[in-house]
Amino acid sequence: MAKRQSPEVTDLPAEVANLQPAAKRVPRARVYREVSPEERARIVERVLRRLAGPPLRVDSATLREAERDSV
Amino acid sequence: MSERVLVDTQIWEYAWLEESRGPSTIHHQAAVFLSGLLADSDKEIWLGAYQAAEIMDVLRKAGLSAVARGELLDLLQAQCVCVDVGADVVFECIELSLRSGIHVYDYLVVVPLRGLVDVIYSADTHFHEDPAFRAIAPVVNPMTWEMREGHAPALRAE
Repeated sequence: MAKRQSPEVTDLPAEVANLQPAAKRVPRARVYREVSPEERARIVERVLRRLAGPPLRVDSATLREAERDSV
Repeated sequence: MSERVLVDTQIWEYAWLEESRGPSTIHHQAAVFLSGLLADSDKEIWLGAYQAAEIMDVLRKAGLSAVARGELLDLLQAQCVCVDVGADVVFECIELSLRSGIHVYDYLVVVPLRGLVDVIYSADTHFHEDPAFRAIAPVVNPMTWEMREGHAPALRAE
């Protein structure tokens, strides 16, 4: 899809006007927080226990409001 | 080699929640599916930084406790692979949304993962309508239910 043109900008300071557009960056993917394998296993196990337990019951109006504009 | 998967937000959401008047199968399937992925060492869950915020905030607004959300945040930070979301991707998503009329948030979940994941798991009907989603990776609905913006999840017609 074609990029729209930026509005013309004038009277920029020279150091700003001479800036080159940033190169398109390769997305950076990583596990955000490094932890030990034992700690990671504990984190996963805690969530698995939570998922195996009773869910939070939520009324429809609250859920639709929570989901609004994103989900 | 591990399979890299993206799990759309409503599956995360219903893994923790149950709609009080909805069928319990919606929560049950989401929880079992997500648990299976987490327990499978051959699967890697990938997500963009935007989606991490979306998951956390929908659960906050639904009333999930801070303790449970903290446990989930630990999982997202220490177990899942997170992808940065920059301005190039955001503006591409806005343009895709402009073209399709689908809200930008669905694109913000998926587009950052282009070329990085093997499959997208989603119960969102938008993901099966706009080919832009399938262009990122194959889209599979592993649930017997589906949902669309502003509506409760519903069982899929056979």
